[in-house]
Amino acid sequence: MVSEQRDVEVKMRRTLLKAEKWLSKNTVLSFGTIITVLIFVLIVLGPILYLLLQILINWKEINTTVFNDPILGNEAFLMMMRSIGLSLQVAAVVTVFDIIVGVPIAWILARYEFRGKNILDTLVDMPMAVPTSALGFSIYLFWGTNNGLSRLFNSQVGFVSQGTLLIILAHVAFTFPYVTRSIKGIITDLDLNLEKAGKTLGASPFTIARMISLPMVKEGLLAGTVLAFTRSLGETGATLIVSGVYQTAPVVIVSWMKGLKIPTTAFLALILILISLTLLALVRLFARKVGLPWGKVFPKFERKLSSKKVTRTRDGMALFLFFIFVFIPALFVIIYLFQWWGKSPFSGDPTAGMIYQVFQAPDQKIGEILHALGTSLEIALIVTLINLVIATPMALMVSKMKKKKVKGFLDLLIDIPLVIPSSALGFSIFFLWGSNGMHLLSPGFFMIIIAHVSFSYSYCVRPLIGSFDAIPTMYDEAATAFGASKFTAFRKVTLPFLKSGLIAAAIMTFTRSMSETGATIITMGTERTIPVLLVDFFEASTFPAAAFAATILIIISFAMLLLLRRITRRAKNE
Amino acid sequence: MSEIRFEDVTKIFGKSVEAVKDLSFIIEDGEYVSLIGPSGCGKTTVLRLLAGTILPTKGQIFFNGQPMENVRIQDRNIGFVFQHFAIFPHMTVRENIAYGPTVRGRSKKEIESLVETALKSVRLGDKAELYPDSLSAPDWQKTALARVLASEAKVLLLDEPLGALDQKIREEFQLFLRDLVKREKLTAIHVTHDQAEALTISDRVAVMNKGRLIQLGTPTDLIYHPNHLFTSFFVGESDFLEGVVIDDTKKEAEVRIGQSIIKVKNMGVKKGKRAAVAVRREFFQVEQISTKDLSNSLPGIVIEDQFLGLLRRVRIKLENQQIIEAKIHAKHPIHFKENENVRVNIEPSITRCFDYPKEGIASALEM
Amino acid sequence: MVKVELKEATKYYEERRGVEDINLSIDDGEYLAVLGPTGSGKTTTMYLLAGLFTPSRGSILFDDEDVSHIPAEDRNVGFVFEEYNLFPRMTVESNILFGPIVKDLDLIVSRKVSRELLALLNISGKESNFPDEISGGQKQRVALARAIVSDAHILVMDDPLRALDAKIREILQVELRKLVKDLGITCIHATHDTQEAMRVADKIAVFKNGKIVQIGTPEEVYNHPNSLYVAEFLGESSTIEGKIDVSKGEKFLVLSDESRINIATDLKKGEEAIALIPSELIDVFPLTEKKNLNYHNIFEATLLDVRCVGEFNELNISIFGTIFKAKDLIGKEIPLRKNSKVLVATDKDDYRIFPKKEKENNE
Repeated sequence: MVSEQRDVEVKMRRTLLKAEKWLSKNTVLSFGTIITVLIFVLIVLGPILYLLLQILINWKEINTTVFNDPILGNEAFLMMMRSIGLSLQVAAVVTVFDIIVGVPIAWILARYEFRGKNILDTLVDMPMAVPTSALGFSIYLFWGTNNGLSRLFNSQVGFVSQGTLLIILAHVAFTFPYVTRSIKGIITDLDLNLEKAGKTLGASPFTIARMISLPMVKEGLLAGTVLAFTRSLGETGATLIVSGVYQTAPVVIVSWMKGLKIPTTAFLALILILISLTLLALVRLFARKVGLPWGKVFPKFERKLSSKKVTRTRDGMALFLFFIFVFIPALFVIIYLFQWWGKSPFSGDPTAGMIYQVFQAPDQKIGEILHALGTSLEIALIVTLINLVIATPMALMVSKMKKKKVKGFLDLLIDIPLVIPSSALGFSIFFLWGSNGMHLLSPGFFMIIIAHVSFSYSYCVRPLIGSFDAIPTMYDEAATAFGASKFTAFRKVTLPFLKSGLIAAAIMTFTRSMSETGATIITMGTERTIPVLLVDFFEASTFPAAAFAATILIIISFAMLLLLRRITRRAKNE
Repeated sequence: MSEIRFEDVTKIFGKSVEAVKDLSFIIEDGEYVSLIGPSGCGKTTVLRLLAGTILPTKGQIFFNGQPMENVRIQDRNIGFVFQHFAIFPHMTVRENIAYGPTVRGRSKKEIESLVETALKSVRLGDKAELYPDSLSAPDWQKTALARVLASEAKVLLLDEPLGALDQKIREEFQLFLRDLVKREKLTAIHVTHDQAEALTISDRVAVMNKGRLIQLGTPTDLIYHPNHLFTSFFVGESDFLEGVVIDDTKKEAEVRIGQSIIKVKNMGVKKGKRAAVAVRREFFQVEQISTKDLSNSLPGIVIEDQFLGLLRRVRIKLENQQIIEAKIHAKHPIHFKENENVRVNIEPSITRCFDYPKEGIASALEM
Repeated sequence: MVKVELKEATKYYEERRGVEDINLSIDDGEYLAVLGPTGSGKTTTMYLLAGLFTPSRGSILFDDEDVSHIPAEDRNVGFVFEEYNLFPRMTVESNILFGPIVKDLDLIVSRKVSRELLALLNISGKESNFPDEISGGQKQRVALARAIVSDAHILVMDDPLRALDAKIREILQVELRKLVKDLGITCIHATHDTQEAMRVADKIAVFKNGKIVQIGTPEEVYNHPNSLYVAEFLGESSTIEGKIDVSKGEKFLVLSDESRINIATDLKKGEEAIALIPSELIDVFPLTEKKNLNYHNIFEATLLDVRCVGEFNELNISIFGTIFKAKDLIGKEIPLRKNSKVLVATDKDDYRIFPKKEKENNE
C-alpha cells in the first residue's frame, strides 16, 4: 500500500516536472509572451486604439455633431473646450498646491523620527485608498454645508459653495499623496553620506538639498506631479458631487453618456486621453534631461534659509495645511454621521436622521446599500483574481527584459491606465465591447469587470515588477544551474520570494476597484456599486444615508490600507 | 571526465564592449584553476560563459570535446558557488541540498542518499534541519557546496566563494575547499581577487587583464617564470628597469641601464632594442658600496629605508633617475641612510627582459 | 598649515560609547594613521575631527583654537570617505569644484589647482566623465582632489582605500603619502590595515574599543608593543606560554615540555608569561646548516607545509607541541621540503613577552 502510494507520488512529481519542462521550452515561452502581450493589448490598449480608429473613420459624422449640428451649431465643441479648460485650470492649481504641501511632508516622513510618524504616514496615504466619491462628499459636507466649518462660526450657509474652488479643495485631498509618495521613498533611500560629503566641503543644508538631493529626487517628483495632475484631470466621483453647475471634462463625459450622445462623448474622451498620454510620454522622455536652476551659490543667504527657524516654520506650515485642507475635510463625514445619527441636529426631526433613513423609512436604504456593497465586493474580487493572473507574466517579462528600449516602452505602456481619466477609459471599453464595437457585452456586471480590470491593471503590475526586481539575480542562476527547468525554478524559488508582492498587488487592485466611480457609471447599465450609490444618494439629497455609505467605504478602504502596510513592511523587514 | 577547452572565445556586450577576447586554453579533468586579475578584467565573464548564462559572441567552448553551444545551463552538469551564497532562504539546509536532485526528478531514495553523502562530505550533518537565517556565513557556503555535490556536478564554478568570509576563516576554508575538490574528483574554476588565495589553493592560475588571458601557469611559474610584463606587475610586486639591449647571445642578454651593464635573462628582445627588465622587489639585493664581489649590480642612492614590520622597503634612485624599491628582510643587519651610495645586486636568473612597450610602461600595465 | 589636537574628546551614542578620552596631538604637516579593527572608534574620531559629530565631552583644537562646536561646513577639513561619496549626477570636474562653488571662492584659481591635482594623480582627461564611468581607484583620486581643492588645511581620510583592489591599494598608498608630503598638509588617515598604516604614516595611533592604546612611530609600535593587544593586532605571530626562569644572568621561558627559550624581559623569575613571536622573525633552515648558525635559540622541528603567497613563503612548523607560522620573503628557490625536519632559529629580542594575566584581560 505504502510503496504503491509512493510510486504514485513519484510519478506525479515526475509528470509535473515534465510538464514544467515542456512549458519551459522556448517555443512555449514565446507563445506565452505573445498571449501576455495580447491580453494587455486587448484590455488596455485596444479600447483606446479602437476609439481613435472609429473617430477617424466616422470623422464626417463627428464633424457634424461636434462642430456643425443643425440646431446647436458648434455648441457641443464650445462646451467641450470650456470643460477641458476648467479641468486643466483646476489640475494646474491643484498640482502646485500638491507640491507645496507634498514635498515638505515627504521630507518630514523620510527624515525625521518622531512619535506618531507611522500614523501620519498612514494618514497621508489614506486619501488614495478611500473612494473619491466618499471623499468628495465629506469635503462637500465640511466646506459646502452648514454642518461643517460654518458651524464654528455660527453661519447658516456653507463656507464654500459648489464650484471651482470646491473642486480644487476636493482634488487636492486625493491627489497630493501621489506627490508625497513618489518622492518619500527616494528621499529615504538617498545616501546620507553624500550630504555629509557636501557638508565637509562647506555647503549649508539648504545648498546641499538644492544642489545634491533635489537632482536625484527630480525624476520621482516629476512622475508624481504628472500622476497628481492627470488624476485631477480625470477624476469623476468626487467632482460629480462638488462641481454643481461647473462641469469638468470627465463630468461632461458622464452626463453626455447618460444622454447617449455617443459621438460627442467619444470625441471628448479621446481628447482627454491624448492630453494625458502626451503628458506621460513627455515626462518619461525628458525627466532625466530637465535641468534644475543651478547657477551661483549665495553662501550667506542659503545659510540663513537653512536656519532652524526657517525650516521649522516650513514644516509647521506644511503640516497645518495638510490637516486643514486634507485630513479634517476628508474624514468630516464621520462626524456628520454622528451629528445626524438619530435626528436632525437643527430641527430635531427623527425622520431626517440616519437611523430612520437607512433602516426605518418605507424605502429603507439598507437593502440598496447591502446589495451595492455585495456587487462592489464581488466585482473587486473577480477583478483582483483576473489581474493577478494576467499581470504576473507581464511583470516578469518587464522585469527580465534586457533590451533597454523595449523595456522602457513597455514600462510606459503599463502606466497608461494610471494616467488616463477612468471615465474616458470606461467609455472606450463600452465603445469596443458594446453595441458600437464587438457587440459582445451590454453595459452591466461583466462590462464593469472588464473596465475595472483595465484601469486597475497598472496597480497590479507595478508592485509585481518591483518584487521581481527585488529578487537578486543570483537566485535565478542558482535555481536553474542545478537542472531545474524555468518553470520549476519559478515555482520552487521565485514564487516564495514573491508572496508578499502578490498580496500587496492584490490589495492595491482590490482597493482601486472598490473605489472607482467614473468608469463604473459608464459601464454599469442597471447595476449599482457602492461608490455610485453614494452619488445617487447625494443627488437625491438623502445626505445621512450617503454619509452612512461613505463611512462604510472609508472603513473598508482604511482596513485595506492598514493590511497593505503591514504586509509591505513585513516584506521589507525580511 | 570533464576537460574544458576554450577555442578563440570572444564575448562582446552591447555593441563594442569586449568583455573577453580570443581566449584559448585547456583545463584538465580534476584540475583546480584560479582566475585572477583586476576588476573588470573578464574573469567573471569566463565563469558565466562556462555556466552558459551567456553565450560567446565568437569561438567555441568544449566540455570533453563536446561543443556547448546549444547546451543550456541546466544540462551542463556544472555547480555554481556564489560569493553571496544564493542559499534559498525559504528552505532548510536539507531542502537546499535536495534541490538539485529534486528538480531533476530523482526518486525519494536517491535524493536521500545524495543529500546524506553531501552533508557528510561538508560536515554539516547536525545542521541539516535548520533554516539559513540561523546559520553563519561559513555554514552557508558549506550548504552551497553540498548543494552542488548533491546535484552530481562535475565542474565546480566558484565566484569569489570566500569573498564574504573573515580573513581567518578564509584561510581555513581554502584548505577545506581544495581538499573537497580533490576528494570528490571535481574540476574547479575559481575566480578571486586575492592573489594569495589563488596561489595557495590552485594547481594553476590564470592571470587576466582587459579581457585577455595573460598567463596560465602553476603558482611557481607565475612567481619565478613570468612570461609577460603584466604577470610580473600583477603577481606580487616588480620594478621595471629601463635600458637598451647591447648583446643578445643565447638566452641571456646584456642590457645597458644608465652607465652600467648587467646580464639578464632574455625573453626575446633583439640587440639594439629598448628593454624593460622585470625584477621582483624581493630579489633586489641592496649592498653597501664597500661590499666586494658584486658582479651584476647597479649603483644608486638611497631615498628612504622604510620600516614596515614584516619587511623593510628601501627606495633607491638609480643612475638613470629611475626609482626602484627593494624589499628586504626585517632583520637585515644594515640600516641604510638617506643619500647613502649603494649598489643593487641582481641575480641574472631571476630577471626577465621584455621588449619595452611602445605605448610606455604605464599604459602597457593599465588595468 | 595647522596643528591638530584632541583633548579628552569623547562621543557617546545614546548609551553606547563611540570613543572615550581621546588625547592626540598632530603636528603641522604630520601624517598620522589611526589604526584599529572595525568598531574601535576610528570613524567616530574622523567624524569628530571633521565636525560631522560634536563631542559629548572634551575638545578639538586647530592651532590652539577650540573648534568643537563649529559645524562641518565651516571647518575647512577635507574629508575622504571609504565609499568615495562622489556626487553621482555631477561630472568629475563639477565634483571637484563643488567646494569652491559653495564657498564662493575664485573659480579660475580653483580650476587651475584642480587641473594640477588631476595631473599629479594621473587622471587628467577625465574631467567631463561622470563618476559611474571611472574605476574605483580613479574615483578615490577624484575624492581626494575634491577634498583638497576646497581650501582644506587638514585632510581627514576614513579608511579611504578599503574598497579597492589590493594592487591599486598598494599603488595609492605610495601616491597618498607623496601627495600629502608635497602639499605639506596635516593628515589623519584611519585604516584597519597595519601594512597600510606603516606605509603611509609618520606616526600611528592604535585604537581599541574607543580608546587609544598606543601612539608612536611605526617602528616603536611594531617593535615595542605596550600590550598583548597591540602586538597581536599589528603583526601576524605565534604564541607560546610558560614560566620565566633565570640562569647565568640570562632569562628563559620554560615551556610545559621543559623546552627553554632564551628571551629578553623585565618579568621576574617564576612569573607566568605569554610570548609572541612575529612570523617574519622566525628563520627556518635545513638541518645541514646547523654549524653555520649564530642565534640565541635553535630548535629542531617539523615543517608541515610551505605555501607561496606572492611576496612571502608561509611555513607551518610543528614545534613545542604547537604550530608556529613563519613568513619568509621569497628568494631564489625553496630548498625546504614538506614534512621534513628543519631548524627553527630565533634571537632573544624577537620575542614579545607579556605577563599572562594580560591575556585574560584581553578576553
